[in-house]
Amino acid sequence: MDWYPLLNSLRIAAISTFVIFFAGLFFAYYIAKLPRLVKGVLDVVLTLPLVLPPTVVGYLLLRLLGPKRPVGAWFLSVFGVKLVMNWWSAIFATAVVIFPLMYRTVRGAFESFDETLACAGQTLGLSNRYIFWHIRMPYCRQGVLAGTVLAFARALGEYGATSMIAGYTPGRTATISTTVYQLWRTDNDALAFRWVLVNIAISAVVLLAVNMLERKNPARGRKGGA
Amino acid sequence: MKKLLAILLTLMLLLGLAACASKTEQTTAAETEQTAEEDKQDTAAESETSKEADTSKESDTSKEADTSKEAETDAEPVTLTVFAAASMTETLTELGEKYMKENPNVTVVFTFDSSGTLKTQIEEGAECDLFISAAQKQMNQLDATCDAEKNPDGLDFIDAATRVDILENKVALVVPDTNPKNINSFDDLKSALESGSVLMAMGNADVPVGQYTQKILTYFGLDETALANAGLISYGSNVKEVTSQVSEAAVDCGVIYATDAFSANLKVVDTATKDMCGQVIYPAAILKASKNAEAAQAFLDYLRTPDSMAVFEAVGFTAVG
Amino acid sequence: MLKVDIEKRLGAFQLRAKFTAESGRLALLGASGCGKSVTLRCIAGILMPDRGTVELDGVTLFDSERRIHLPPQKRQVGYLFQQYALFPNMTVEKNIRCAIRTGSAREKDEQAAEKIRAFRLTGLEKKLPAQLSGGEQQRVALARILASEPRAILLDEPLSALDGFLRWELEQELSELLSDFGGPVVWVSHDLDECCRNCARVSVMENGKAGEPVAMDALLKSPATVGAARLTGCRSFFPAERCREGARIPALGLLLPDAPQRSFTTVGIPSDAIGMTGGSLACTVRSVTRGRLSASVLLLPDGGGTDAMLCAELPRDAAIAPGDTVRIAIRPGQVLYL
Repeated sequence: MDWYPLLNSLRIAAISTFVIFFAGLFFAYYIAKLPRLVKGVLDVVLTLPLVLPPTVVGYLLLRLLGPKRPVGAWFLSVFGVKLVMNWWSAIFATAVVIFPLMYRTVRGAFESFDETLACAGQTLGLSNRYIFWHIRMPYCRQGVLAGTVLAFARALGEYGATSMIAGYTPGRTATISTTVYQLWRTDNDALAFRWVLVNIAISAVVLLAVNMLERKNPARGRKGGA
Repeated sequence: MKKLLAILLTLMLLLGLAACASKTEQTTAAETEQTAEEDKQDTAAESETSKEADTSKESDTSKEADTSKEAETDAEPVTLTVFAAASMTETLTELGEKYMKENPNVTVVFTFDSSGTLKTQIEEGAECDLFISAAQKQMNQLDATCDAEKNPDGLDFIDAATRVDILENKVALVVPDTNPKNINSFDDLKSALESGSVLMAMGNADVPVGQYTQKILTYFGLDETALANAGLISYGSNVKEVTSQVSEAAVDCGVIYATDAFSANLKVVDTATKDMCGQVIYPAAILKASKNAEAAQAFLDYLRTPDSMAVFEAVGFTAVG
Repeated sequence: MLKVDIEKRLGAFQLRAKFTAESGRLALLGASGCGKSVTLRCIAGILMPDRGTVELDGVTLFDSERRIHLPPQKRQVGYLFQQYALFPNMTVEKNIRCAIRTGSAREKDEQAAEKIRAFRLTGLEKKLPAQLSGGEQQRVALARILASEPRAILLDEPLSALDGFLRWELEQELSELLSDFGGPVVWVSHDLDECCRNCARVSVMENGKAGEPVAMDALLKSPATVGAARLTGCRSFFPAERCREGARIPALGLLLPDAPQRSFTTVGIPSDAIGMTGGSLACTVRSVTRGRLSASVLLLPDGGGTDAMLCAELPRDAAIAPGDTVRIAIRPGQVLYL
């Protein structure tokens, strides 16, 4: 069995999730501070990839990053490299599609954060960065973890946008999802089903790992006061 | 202010949804007006069809039609369900509307999708009067008069007596408007593939156009698997993907139908000959289970009139023959 | 020394706080919701006032004219939140240690240990806030604040959420632990008794306006406004007018001699201005409510309208009942002219 799709899917999912982890935290943190109206509009825009069919997302990305378009052409002329139809092109598509999941979950977690803790930290002289990483993040750990897991799982299953922007070339740009689809469409159900099992196995491992992490560090008491 | 924002946001969402609306399924509403006949159109009035007529699979040019200008004698409303390959979407919709104008009691309802999907739907019992496939393969699979090789499941859904080839499509080689690898013919493509300097998009083996592409590669003595492993081929999961990738120059060329090229406004640099991949024939047949066989036959005959053919040819089809 | 002169629009009313706090404790006294917490937050830098200045020991923390607004981190103003705001994911010693601003790692450890000793937290270093009692949490919170070496400390209703014995206990502790602090302390509360017990000076906040601080005694003896008088416990107020002989109270048909020279519009009659016997004003007892230590007696003067009510505090077991008639005297020396 050609194991390339497994390697490819894992690295694309891992890199996308890594990038979106920080992007999601960044946007969730700063947007929560904006006035309500602006916050609402931005929420809609940033959640859009969740609502649009992935193929449409892929098509829009193609129009943005293709070699005929300003961004793609610039990259081509400066680096001699096409942004699309490579294995790493799928990272763009996957990142865009999983972003809303991380963003909204973390936003929710941050909104439930007790802001007086941050205020207290500030009056004690703690920098905002320290407060973010050492007080806010531990407090919101469960939400952040949930968002990351959701994003990773969705990244593994991403198909429509990936297919459009990276294509399906066996051994080059094939992911588990695009492989399963191609195998199924060409009546190779047995092999397709084996890949589905691989997908399930990966998800099981990830979820188990997350659960074990949770059990080792159970959520501590929230309230520090009377 | 909040209300305005809510309206704006709803509009944005609706626009996004509309942009992705698939073209595979369209329904046409019944026209109730009685319009005067158009001069150019000598459409057949409903003709009694016997099931012995037109059994051959060759193109049959029996287009004799009564040029009577009477309205339908049969005033009962009829709804015809037509399953047709996606490549015929625009043309059949247009012809369907024309037909319904002249035959107000008939409502034609289309379902457009890939031939494989349509065949599966018919197999699973979907209600259908007329089936037009983009390849013989799917029609064979439903034709009881075909041997076990062509019809492995022994399905018997179409009335073989009504089966007829109505259109020919050409397999076309398309390139982006910038034509970065300077490919102007299938021969150029062959050289480029052999030298490993090109990225080509094609349909996969489940899609008829993909199968034709495979035949072309074989004709040129190229090993598809080797090419794929060398990273020279990308398989699109549908035609839209392929046309998008060619339009955006994400790939250097693609192989699709002439009709797809026309819809996507792509530059066709070459079309495949009969030797390369055979002919792409679109057969049509009336379903055995159809409750409106006569109306279906009437519509089928209408589709084969010269004026209808003109509509088909305008988008890249050719008449069979 | 803390100098505050700020304005901020808060919904319906305008916050206007102008006061100076020297070292020692200043009470910021006012009813709930009048803007006391907002004032504190503006001083600490957590909120930004619309206009004004905040100065601490000569350093300008905020100046709207010169567009100065120091972030809270730089102000060295300690803030004790009502719920203490201990970081739930950190141990006691980590909570305290993270507030120490200067020194090497070892020095910080030493300072933290010293604070733990000083605040009697030995043995609790590795505990999380959720595992501590109320008193322990307060000590940790204070230790943490003092570890950050503030120049001023703000207490935001520190005891308002507590009652009974725990409240008394924590109040003692708080008072004692603050006694060594040399800078100004602003103690916000809506409880006059609490402020009385713990602070020497008080600024009364009414309708968003905090006035210049006065000595606690001065407030109790001669409050300046009806609101301040209410805070000190006076419940009976009547319009009054100045006349040659003194002050006339039309509602009661009374004339009070020895009215002060300054102008006044209202007269407040606190409980200790009412003598229950031997007076000339006939009243009917409307109701007697016996509390734990005293009895509140509502008196309705004969001839006055139903609005003219006087309230007297008598010993709990005073022999008086609704319907009784009494002749009361008003002691002019205790009357408040507002």
